[in-house]
Amino acid sequence: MSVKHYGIFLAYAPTVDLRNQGLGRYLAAFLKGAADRDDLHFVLVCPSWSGKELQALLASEGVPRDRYEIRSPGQKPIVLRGFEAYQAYQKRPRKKPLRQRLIDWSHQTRVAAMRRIEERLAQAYSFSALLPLLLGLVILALIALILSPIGLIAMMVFLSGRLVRRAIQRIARPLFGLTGRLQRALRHPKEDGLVLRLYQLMDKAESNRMLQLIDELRHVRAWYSPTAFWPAFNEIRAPRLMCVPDVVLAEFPVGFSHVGGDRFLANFASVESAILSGQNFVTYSDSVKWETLVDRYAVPAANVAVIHHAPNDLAPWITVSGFADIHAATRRYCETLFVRALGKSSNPDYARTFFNRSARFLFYASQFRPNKNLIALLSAYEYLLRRRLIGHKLILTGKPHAWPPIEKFLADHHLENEVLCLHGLEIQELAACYKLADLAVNPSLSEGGCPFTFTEALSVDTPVVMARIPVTEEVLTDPELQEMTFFDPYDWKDMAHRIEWALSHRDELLAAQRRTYADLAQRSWTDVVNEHIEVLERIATAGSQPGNLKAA
Amino acid sequence: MNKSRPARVMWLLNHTSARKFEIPMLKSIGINEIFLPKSFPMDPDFRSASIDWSEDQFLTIPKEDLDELNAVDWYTGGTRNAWEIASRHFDACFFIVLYDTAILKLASKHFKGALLLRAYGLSSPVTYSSLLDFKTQGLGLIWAKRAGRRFYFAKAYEHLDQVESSTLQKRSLYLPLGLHDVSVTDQWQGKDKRIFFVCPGVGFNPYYQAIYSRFISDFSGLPYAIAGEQPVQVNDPAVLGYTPLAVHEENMRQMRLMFYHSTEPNHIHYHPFEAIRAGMPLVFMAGGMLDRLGGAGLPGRCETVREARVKIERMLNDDWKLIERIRQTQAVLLDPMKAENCAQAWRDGFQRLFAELATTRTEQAQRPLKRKRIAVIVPAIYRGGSLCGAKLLAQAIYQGSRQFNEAAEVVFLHLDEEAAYPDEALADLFPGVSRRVFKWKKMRRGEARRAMRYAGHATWEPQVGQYLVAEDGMNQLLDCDLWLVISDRLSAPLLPLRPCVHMVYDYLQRYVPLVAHDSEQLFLDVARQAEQVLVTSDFTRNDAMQYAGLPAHKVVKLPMLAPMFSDQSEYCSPAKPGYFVWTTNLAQHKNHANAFKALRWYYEKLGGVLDCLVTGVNTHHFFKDPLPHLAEATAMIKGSALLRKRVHWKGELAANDYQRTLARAAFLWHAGKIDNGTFSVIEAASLGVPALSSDYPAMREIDQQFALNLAWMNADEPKAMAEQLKQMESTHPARRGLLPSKSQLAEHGTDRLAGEYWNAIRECL
Repeated sequence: MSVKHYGIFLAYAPTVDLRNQGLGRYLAAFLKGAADRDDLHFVLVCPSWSGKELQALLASEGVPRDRYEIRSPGQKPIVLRGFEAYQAYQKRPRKKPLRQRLIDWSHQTRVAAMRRIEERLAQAYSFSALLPLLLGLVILALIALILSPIGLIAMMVFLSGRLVRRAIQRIARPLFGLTGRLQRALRHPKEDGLVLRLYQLMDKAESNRMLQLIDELRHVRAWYSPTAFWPAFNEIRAPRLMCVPDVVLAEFPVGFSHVGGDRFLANFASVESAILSGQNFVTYSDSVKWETLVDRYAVPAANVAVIHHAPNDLAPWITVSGFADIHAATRRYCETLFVRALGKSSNPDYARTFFNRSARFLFYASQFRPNKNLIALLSAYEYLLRRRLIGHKLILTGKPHAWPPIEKFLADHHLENEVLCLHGLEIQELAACYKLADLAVNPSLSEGGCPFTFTEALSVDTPVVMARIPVTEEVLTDPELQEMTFFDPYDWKDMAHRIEWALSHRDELLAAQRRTYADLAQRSWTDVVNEHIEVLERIATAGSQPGNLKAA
Repeated sequence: MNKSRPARVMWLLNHTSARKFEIPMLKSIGINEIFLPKSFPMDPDFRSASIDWSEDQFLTIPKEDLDELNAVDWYTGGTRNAWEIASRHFDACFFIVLYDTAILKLASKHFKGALLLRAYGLSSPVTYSSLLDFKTQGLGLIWAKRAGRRFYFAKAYEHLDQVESSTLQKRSLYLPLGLHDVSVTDQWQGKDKRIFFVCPGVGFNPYYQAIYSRFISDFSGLPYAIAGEQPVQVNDPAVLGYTPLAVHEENMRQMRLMFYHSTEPNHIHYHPFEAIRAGMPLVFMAGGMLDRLGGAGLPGRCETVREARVKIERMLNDDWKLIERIRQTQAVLLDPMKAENCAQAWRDGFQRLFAELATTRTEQAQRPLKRKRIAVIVPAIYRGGSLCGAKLLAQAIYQGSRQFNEAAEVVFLHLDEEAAYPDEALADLFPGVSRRVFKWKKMRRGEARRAMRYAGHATWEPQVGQYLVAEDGMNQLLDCDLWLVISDRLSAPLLPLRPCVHMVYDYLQRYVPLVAHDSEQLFLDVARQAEQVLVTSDFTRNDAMQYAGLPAHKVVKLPMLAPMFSDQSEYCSPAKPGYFVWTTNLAQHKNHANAFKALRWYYEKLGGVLDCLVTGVNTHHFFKDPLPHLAEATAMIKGSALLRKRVHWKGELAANDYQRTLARAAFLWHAGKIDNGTFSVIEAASLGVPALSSDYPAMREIDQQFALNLAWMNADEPKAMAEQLKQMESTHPARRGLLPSKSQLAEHGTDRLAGEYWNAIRECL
């Protein structure tokens, strides 16, 4: 059977851990979906700095190795290598400074010597027995006397060294200012203007190298970019399809204006540039197609295909087999994972000795971003905890200190010990949290497609309540299901009532949602891949001519 | 050994392969009655476990006792009752501590036979001593010592105790592990040119995940198949997962070789021996247990991975000379595993065990029984209901212990503050409960560490900067066997010189910002370090688990103890009472703002006819330097002439005065928002006075326990509260008829409930 090669273009920045990115997991699911087809092979082209992380991501997600190859330009840029070396140096196990080691050594030697003297004294039964000891002390005194001028000189050098150092510091202050700046840049590279400019130049150069590499891959029929962050994708001289998950900064301009500074603004410009210079697109929802691409960016509707997600099935990661009671065994395993996940809490003092493996909680898995509507969720939760007395904890997966409004809310409302933020969860830990939760919640105001929350939770038999937004209404269409599942995300009280109702009608909600999940589960990632391939194939055979791209 | 009956042993493990060797071994040394557990944890780590009922037919113990033992979950420690049954019938008990150390704790306390901690070895650098230490916060070795000469470190390999603490070394008993079948079947053909590598649990066990990753890295490019149970799916076609027996046997016949990775000095798996028995050539790494078992000079041994790879490549490329050399020489590794080579050690071991047990039993029989002493500690200045509750608790323990024929001494401890604890405040302390004063003393890290070392905690290390001890001017309560502290509100953790139990009435701070964040963690740590936490409501129990993070087995819910006013003959209820009583204090959760809004509405809009008498601790200080949370209520009172006229401030009344006042009231009003409930409604019921209460879970529980038929109101809605007050004007006479009778209330008297309290406490002694 002849194998068709398709390319995937990835240009994530250095230090991005793909395992923590939603798009990273999406890519893994996509490639696993291709595993069922023997006639497909994907070439992943990425920057020189992403190859290892990409390999790690795909290995951790269990993507079969024979379905893809990773190609990247040769060496990493020297500046980046230097930065990574600096980071590795910073993370090295620290030895004590030489001065401290000398002090420690002299202390230990002195203590050992004193101990020996004390032993000899205690064991001396006559004055003659003390003679060797006295002789030793005399010799030591003589040595000290001989060395004393050296010692004096050393002390003078040391003291004068301090004066000289101070003088040098005063003279070389501007230079130290520069080194201080350099250190700050190395510690927080994303916030330094020079670093950003360097990165942009490096990125441009790397993109050019990737494009040259891509030019040589003539056997690749068409190229796919899973995101709109990279305008360089549009310079590929081959049929191209760009995925636009969403342009969330445009929908939440005020919220995002406080996040990421001008770096995010630069990213936004890249996204707009990518869209404006692109031609063929795919989105996860009709909502993004029409409201973002067609309305905002005047992309012809015929050039946009809509390909819905397939469910994300988390069950294989946690299901235990081979026991008489697999439900109990699975639960037990999930509780072990849950305890492990608690170790990643942003409140370690509290979580470290939290021993209740069977704690009841609500769960929302998401980064902290302005569109995620977290303040409303926290308001609803506080009301449920303190007025409705539900007793549950709320578990989130973002970093509170990366999003100050959340951190402030938690502190102001004394919720630090009730809302546990577990960041950097492995896929098994995430699955365990979904499994053990009484209810999954998604209050997000805007997403590119129907959130994975629904299928992830239902795949492990946990019901969900979600915000009523266009992308959720697009997929969960049954009116009765919508009534049970949705709340108004702009009304935290409605959210609270829906959550409370769901907790007290859990079985009923789960039964209804299982039916819908069973329908959705008919769609697999292989279907998603097939639909993408259809579009890519159409683009490949038509060249760069626009046409009707809707998947058959 | 008890000469009046046959020797009996409990073997509380479920490991299939170990059982196949050890049960026949026990029988070969004359122990024919063996109890095996009939359940094991549904945990992926128990993939090698199974249940065997076949030994039950040989047990000559009463059927009802056997049924009870069969129903027990031994892995989480069993129950006191089960261990007492076991003590009657069994002489020795094998157990493991990898899953839960509670079994050592309970067995050392309640089992009177020999305790054998079965040790098959652990992955370096973990030792049984460090494992016990870590999992029990240093108490594990103390429990082992508690069993004295009845405790044995039953090592399966002779050298295992070399890395252990002196506590375990001194009690070493060598009972070698072997294989039930060491015959070499040699049906191996080796036609499948793949490495057979056994690595179970890849999908869930980080230890085996690392081994798996290392293997595929070290031998990348070479063909291999990975066997071993995989309870969680693995996305690697080379990982075989579950294979039927026939397939497994075929693999053992055909795979070219087995590679054994382990360089663990103290642990070995079964599968290398399985390979040798099957005749499959075994390539193994040096430095592990196989060296000790005779593998040091074998051709299959490899010093480095490179050497292993070279040998394996030769074998995969048909170097039959090497293959045969390995196969012909490797059988020597089975010799130490033969039953006949292990039997003498088992005979000697059990001979020693029975001799020591006989001596120990004789010695113990001659020892006088020591009466237990329980300290009930009031850690701060408590008055009113809190102090009353503490006294009732002391009474319950005193009476409960006698109901169990385990009469304990009870010492009631309070702070050495004469003004706070005058004699009359404790005049009603139950007869027989003694009284002692103390002060809190702080100990710094160094002092704390020394004290714990002197007390026998050899590995305990301070985790915080300071600890508390109760300084009674004598021996800091060390004459007591258990410390029961009322509440968790300590300024530092207690130095854990004795088992410590806390009675926690509520976790109000979860709902009302009562304490600073730092103090919050401190109180949580106090509860988390306790042996047990007692609560008196399901609501608080839920908070203990959900908020304090306590595991369910550590939180014990006991029925609320309430004072009963026994003789009210002198208190006659007037035909038309002119007031109701509002019992409160100045705490934030008492809902003063809403209460006064309700009262104002009641008087100004609803024409309320009953006055309100306010009583309770510190209520006479309501207007004196008002606390911030009282500002709104204070302003309301000052701004309403009607409120000032109709609300009367009685302060904290003496007991008799309070009873008289309450008995003549129309009803009792409880307006607090959220707490563990108040037994003022019970006191009222005992005087024939109904109550109108805020509706929250703890009050519902009290209502249910005491069948009070309380009237309810929503404490968040002042108007609704006022309307309920108005309604009570007309309904209170009828509500008297709904109150429980004296005899019904008496069923919840402290003496009736004492047994439950003692039953909980004794588990911690």
